[in-house]
Amino acid sequence: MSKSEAVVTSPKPTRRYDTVRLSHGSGGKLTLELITELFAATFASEPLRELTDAALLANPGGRIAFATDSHAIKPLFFPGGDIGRLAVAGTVNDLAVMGARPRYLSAAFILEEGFSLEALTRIVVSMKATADEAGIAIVCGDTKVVERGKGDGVFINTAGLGFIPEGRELGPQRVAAGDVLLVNGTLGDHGIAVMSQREGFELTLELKSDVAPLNSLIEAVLAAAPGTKFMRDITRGGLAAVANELVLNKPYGVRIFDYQVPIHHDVAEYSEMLGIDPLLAANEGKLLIATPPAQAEAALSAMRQHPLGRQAAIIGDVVKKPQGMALIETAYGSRRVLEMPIEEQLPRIC
Amino acid sequence: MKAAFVPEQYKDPALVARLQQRIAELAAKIGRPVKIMHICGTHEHELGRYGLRDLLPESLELLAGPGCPVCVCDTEYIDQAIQLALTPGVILASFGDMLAVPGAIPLSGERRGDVRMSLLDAKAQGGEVRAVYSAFDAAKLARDHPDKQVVFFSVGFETTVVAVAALLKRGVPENFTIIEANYYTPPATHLLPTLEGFNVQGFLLPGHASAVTGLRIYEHLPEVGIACASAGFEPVDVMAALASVLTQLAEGKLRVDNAYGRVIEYDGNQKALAELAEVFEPCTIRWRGVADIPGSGFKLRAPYRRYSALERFAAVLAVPSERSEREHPKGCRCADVTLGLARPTDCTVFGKLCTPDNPYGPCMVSHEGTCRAWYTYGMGRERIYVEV
Amino acid sequence: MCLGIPYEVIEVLDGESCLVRVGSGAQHCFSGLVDSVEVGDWLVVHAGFAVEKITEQDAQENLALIERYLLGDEPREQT
Repeated sequence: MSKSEAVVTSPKPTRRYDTVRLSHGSGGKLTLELITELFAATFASEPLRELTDAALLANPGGRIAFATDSHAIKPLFFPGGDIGRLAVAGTVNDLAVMGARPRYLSAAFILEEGFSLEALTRIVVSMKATADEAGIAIVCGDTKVVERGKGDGVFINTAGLGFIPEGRELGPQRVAAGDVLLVNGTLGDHGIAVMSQREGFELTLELKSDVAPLNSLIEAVLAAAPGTKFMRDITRGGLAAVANELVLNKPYGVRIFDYQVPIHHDVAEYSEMLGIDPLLAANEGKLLIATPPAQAEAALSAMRQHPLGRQAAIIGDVVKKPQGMALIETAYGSRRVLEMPIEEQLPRIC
Repeated sequence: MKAAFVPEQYKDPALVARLQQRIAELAAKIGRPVKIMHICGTHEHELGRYGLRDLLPESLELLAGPGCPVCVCDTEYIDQAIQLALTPGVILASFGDMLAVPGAIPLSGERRGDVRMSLLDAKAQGGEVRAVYSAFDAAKLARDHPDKQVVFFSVGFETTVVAVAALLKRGVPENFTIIEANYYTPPATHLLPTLEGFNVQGFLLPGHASAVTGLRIYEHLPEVGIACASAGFEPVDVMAALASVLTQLAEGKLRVDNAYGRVIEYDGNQKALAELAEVFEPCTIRWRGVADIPGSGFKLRAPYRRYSALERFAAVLAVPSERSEREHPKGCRCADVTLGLARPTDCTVFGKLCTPDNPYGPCMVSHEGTCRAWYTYGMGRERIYVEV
Repeated sequence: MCLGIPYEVIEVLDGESCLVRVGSGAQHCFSGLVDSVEVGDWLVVHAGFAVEKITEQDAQENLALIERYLLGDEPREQT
């Protein structure tokens, strides 16, 4: 059962309508009703109680990290999550991988006329549950409505503020040859889980999307391995994208041992069948981490003790040469390039 | 004890290492350079994915031959698909790989000259184009949209066309037609040894196409001095087939060896072949940029001709569209690469101007294409040397 | 010309189709081109249809053949 079903009870929006109307976005009575009865009531943060034009927030100190993400996904609900959970976790993770402690999020919605208010409620409840999981507050937002046919149900943008404690500096500039590469679990789960819901594919699987806020996992890693050099969340384009972004124009390369990368059984089988490389498939709850060699075991151990890192693994290392390249080393001792992904992975002809 | 046929057995590093050793011994015994060709895009893909060329001795070169059905599909069929996609009331269903392949209809307004239209361009111009995973999915689309005509762009080699035959034989909705663009590889293996520049001593025969056709159809190859072994797709299977070919060359006893016996029966799948023969008859078809090869195409037989898009949409397709004369865009050496007469790295535009996000020809567009595989896995470069 | 992967039959639906186990799920498979499919059989499946049945015995013979390449014995003629 997903977390979004468990916790929050919110007053239902006005029973006059089952679906979104254009007037829900026009700034008048219906808009106010929607905001107060759904968004503010569910997100239940201090600033939202006041409903001022801007949220006034306490500043805990430290460097400010600021990130934003928009989500226009299809389907809106998928095994293991929904667009709301994705929207919250995505921005939380963008902040947390910089070493920031995420604290405040905004949430802006573009709703399509005719979209189900029951579905919107589920999404908003899921966002609150995810926010609670991450220990953050959703403090401001916006709502607009577009005509039927001009939007895919709902588009969500979240922007977030986080604060970096003194002494933390994570980034590719710190990475050096000899560093160890780790991931916190199986790769490709989200991409394959979402694909199993697309029209034309009818797959019923145990596999779920891995969408989750990773900030508490990251704090655990940084506590156990304070010398950690770099973290990046692995999203679209999979491990291949992150690895290539890391080495671009750098005086080092990245070597990944393909047989050490944890892959869920379902992902292995379905990606083989569809002709998709799991290292290029999307993730929403996975990180690539680089630590100095002496702290790799500590980082690994800290992750394995955390619910979101049970299958964490060391998958490779940073090498002096070849520079600027991400490569795969196989169990046979052979090597090949791990290229930057080009486009959406469509199933191949054969 | 694991079952003998589970894929893990055929990925086993210890077994691969022993085969690697054996191949090196045989190559040394033969004492001269050897070229072996495979004719399956999936083999090239697997070679790249597992870096298997790294494991072979310097004197052994493994070439990619015509193994990509997307790459050999003549521009005529792509252009027909585009015309039909742009016809009101038609849904064009196609394998994902074909969508980005350029045909011969020029696409105006591009900075680089000689860019041609693909099905994606037709979609951008308002055509209804859907990616499907199989012919069965396309038929389902026809059932789900009785008010539209669903045209299935039937591309692929032997293995794929068998599914189409089986489907048609069992009944499809009347609003379903196919563009007959399937190709049959064995006749191409008669042509290859006659080409100037062809210098190959062994063939790896395709794993699943041969499961359908059997291996008897390749027996002409040992007679012209080419050692053959059928090969599956796991690393052990590929290495074992290479070992078989080298063994034959070392002993001077050439034949067609079934090294993938757990899947291939020498006489093939008789049931599949019978159904294929009932629905389709062989015909001459043009291999893009190469030649017309007799007996290498599949044409619907009379009882099934009403499912031919060429017939049903004869009026639409009779309207001529502006087409380039060249089969491939200027600078593109896809035809040579497909025949194994050139490596991707021999092409001046490969990897520089021609990349997966700016492809010149089908060899770079298709996941089965040799150029695409070389680009994706970094093949053709020096062996990767790692300094830690 | 394409990847075909062995899957186990978990349910026979009718004379020409079955369900095969793929990961934790099941996939529909057209089996009309393969003789007498039973639960527990393994099929080589390509794009939703079964090309061949694969048996333990066939596989053992295949492995034995591979061993012969390693030992350098001349592989026996196939029929």
